[in-house]
Amino acid sequence: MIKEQEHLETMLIDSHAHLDAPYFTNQLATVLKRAHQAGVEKIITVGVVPASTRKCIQIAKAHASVFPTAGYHPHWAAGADQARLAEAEQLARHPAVVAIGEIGLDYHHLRSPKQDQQALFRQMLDIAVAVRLPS
Amino acid sequence: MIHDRNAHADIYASLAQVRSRLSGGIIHCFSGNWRLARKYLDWGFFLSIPGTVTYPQAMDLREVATKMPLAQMLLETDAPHLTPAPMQGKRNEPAFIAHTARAVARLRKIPVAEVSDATARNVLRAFPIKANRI
Repeated sequence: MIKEQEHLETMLIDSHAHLDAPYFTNQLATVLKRAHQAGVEKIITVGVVPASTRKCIQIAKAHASVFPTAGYHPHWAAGADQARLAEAEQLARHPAVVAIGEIGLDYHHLRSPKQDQQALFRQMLDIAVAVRLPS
Repeated sequence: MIHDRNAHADIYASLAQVRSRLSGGIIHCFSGNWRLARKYLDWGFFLSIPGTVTYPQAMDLREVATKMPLAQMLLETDAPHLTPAPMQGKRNEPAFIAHTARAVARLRKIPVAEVSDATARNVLRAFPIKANRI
């Protein structure tokens, strides 16, 4: 009884995790079980490039408590050519996707030039407007 | 879900241009001060509080987590990154979000269930997710 009460009192949602990260690949079922035991009801798993978004969508298909987003992280802005952007937009329209992100600017690590980051950020915001999803 | 590292002014400027057409905004891992937080809160954006709120030296974040309306707060792990203090040394995972909820509850001097429930409900408002899919 006590255990059940504890569970009810700790109903939680993790609004941002990277379940597609290589660290989780071989232990996803265990990690999700531990989350459930800790009272985590839902998890939003966040795409950082199109390939990552695709993986997030797959994970969400396999686990009803997981919801995917479609993103393009500023770290990888330099490689965001037209083909990858088109793929990002296509994934943004996938019915399971609940938000556009992770998108933005990272002037701390500066893994991509500022100009590329800014261009990608604007393009992804335009996609968010077009698909009517929060970002 | 907006990522902002040392780019407060440019992020704000870009969002200001599109925000009237956006279906809502979420600043992930909010890293600004209370002054910046208020601007996004005025827009109706959600601010997501990560596990670093458990660290005493995260003074700006702790101030934001204390003062902001609970109705616009989300909790996140950013797992496998940003492990909360009580789990230091391990990679972060969704189960550890409980530590973040506890830290916010302590800062606001309210029951942890109030933080958990409110932030969970907020997710259902911030994203097109139905309440009882499970």
